[in-house]
Amino acid sequence: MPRIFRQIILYGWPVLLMAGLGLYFMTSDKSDSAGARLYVKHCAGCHMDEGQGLRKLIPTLAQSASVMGDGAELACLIRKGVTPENSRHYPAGMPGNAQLSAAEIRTLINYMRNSWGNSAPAVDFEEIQTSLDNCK
Amino acid sequence: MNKFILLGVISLFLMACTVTQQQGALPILGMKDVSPAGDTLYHTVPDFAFTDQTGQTVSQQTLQGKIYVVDFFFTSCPSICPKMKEQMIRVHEEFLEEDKVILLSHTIDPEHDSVEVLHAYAEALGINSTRWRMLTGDKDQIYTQAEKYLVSVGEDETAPGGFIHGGHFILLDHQHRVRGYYDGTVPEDVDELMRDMHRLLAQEYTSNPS
Repeated sequence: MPRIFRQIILYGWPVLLMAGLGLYFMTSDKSDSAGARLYVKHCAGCHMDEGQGLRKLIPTLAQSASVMGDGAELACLIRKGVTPENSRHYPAGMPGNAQLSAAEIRTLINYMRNSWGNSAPAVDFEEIQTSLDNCK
Repeated sequence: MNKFILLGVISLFLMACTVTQQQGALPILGMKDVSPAGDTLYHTVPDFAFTDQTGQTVSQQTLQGKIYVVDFFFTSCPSICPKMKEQMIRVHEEFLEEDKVILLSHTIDPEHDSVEVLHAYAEALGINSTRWRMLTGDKDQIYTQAEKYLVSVGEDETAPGGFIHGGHFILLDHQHRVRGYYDGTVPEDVDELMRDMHRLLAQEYTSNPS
């Protein structure tokens, strides 16, 4: 057997193993996070598993100005939803999530702000709590 | 050399299996009966009259000579409907040029889902309103019709959005006989539905249009 093949077999495996383990921990950490679990339970039914939405019916959350913009406003949007009448671009509107606590909404927001290519600073608990106490 | 022969035999065998599988007719589902003359009578879905997103009446007259796929949903549904619609869009696009195929999505919340609401919903999905009809009408008639398609729907205050329904896509032939059930939220199931639709068109439509 040529020397090069022997070397690949000898040294290739540990490299592959490390890469595999790294990938496993990276992905498992993400899908097991509290934010991901909340997202799957309360949002993914409509906004889909990768936040891609559905055509002009359900908005995509990736690169979304609402998701990456003002956290206080987003918190109220999640809690109260949007009636079809008040929904400018999407005819079905969005149901509210009265059952979610301020802490859960904060976790959800921070998860969405850093998923699917999004990148926005985390929101803190007081900001969300104050906003939720004063939703219109 | 022997290896090549063996490989050839195996691939021939596999091809033969695939071909036979494709040639097998789809089952005809539902309760069967026997006529006095001794013929098998299959379950067929009775006629109906509902209104689609453009305000036109849809009945079995509309479906004459066509195979069709049926599902039940409501526009304010927050649970599985968007996933079903994402999958139904795949079916819609696969058969967009095929005038022997119609898709029927019935609302189970007709009080809210008027023609206007369904129209806005269909527009948002960007669908062809001749090929894919979103139907509203008398609630009791829609619920009774669902039973004829052998699925159950209902109102339930505790369910998300207030209604319960399965995520099934139901395939019917041009004689209004049920030919298959598929989970409309599972892409692999919908792949199977599309294969079965091609089979039905190839095997039965050409030989026996009515």
